[in-house]
Amino acid sequence: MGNLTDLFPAATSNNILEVLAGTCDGRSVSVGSGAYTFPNVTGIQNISTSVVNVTGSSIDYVPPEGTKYVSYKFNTKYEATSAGGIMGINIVYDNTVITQAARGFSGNYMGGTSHDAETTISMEFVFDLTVPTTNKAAGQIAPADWTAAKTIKCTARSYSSTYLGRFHGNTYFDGASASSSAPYVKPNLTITAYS
Amino acid sequence: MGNFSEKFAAASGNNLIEEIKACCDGSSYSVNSGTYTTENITGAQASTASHVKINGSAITYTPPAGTKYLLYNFRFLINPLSNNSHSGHSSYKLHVGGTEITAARKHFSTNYHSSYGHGIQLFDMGFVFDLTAATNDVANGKFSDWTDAREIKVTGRHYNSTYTVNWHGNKWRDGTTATGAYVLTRPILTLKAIK
Repeated sequence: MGNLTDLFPAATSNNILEVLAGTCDGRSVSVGSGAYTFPNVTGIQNISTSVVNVTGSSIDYVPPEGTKYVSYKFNTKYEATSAGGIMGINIVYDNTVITQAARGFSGNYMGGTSHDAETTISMEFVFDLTVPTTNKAAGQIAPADWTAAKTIKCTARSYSSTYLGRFHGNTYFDGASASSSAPYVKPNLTITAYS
Repeated sequence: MGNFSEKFAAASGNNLIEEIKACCDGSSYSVNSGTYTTENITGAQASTASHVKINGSAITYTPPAGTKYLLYNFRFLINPLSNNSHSGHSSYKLHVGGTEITAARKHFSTNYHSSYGHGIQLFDMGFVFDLTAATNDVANGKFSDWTDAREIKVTGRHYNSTYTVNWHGNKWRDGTTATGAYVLTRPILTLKAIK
């Protein structure tokens, strides 16, 4: 007979309860807290001065029991289509903007003639579930208030009609011209629940 | 006497099998699936007109048994090569085992300026590979047979000779001039094996 510890190893000490990660191609993924279907991004998304949901960013998530912190991370591309492409982007939890996660993007202004700026945008926030009362705008959620699926997503808008842009695009890829049909890239979404 | 399992609890049920997060400084990391040594980045790397490996991005990885999803992310710095490199237009591809993941293609640029190439930004090349596929669809990052060691890497090129870039190097830092030396920023490589 071997050692008992060979048969019953000690519990692991890491504090990650689950990782839900996927490229946004419509895949279904099962983790401890349930089964999730990732959004399927099928093309670029032009934005304007109206606030819209960023395609690929939305997931209805319920943390597993014992979760103290939930990390939400959405990684995608953005490119200007006029001037510097100034835009603002937010993380939204259960229809409330997380004010501390707000950010903007812009390429350098060069008048109306050039709008080449494009880069990766990584939107990330860590929700605090150790609080006794919920303050959604601060990303503080009492555990009793997050026992059913809540929607986490990103919303965005252009600064004005002079500074437009689009998500997921790659207009100039591998030497293509400005008038090329832009190949798009699917974003990645990762949720991590910590105890 | 209680049950053995009360004294020797089963390992926790989280679905993260292993994670490697490394600055590319030549260090070795031992995890369950093996020992991996990162590339040692010692300086900036100039782009060319054809795709070359971005130093630091390569790792030959064997997913541990039971891996369903593999998250790969390579975060690196892009800097236009010279003061006259305009916007730093450059394109990036992700490869596994010598085959390109076309769904991961991305393009970078700051906004155009006729005289100045000042734009410096971090950039993420990432994907969540699906290892649960019934058949291989490598172009879309879906695998049915990835149980062996395969090289994952990122390649890049500039748009044309007017828009050259440097990877991993910072110009202008702490008040240095356009002719000052590049200051190294090591890229960060992340792998997460998820069951």
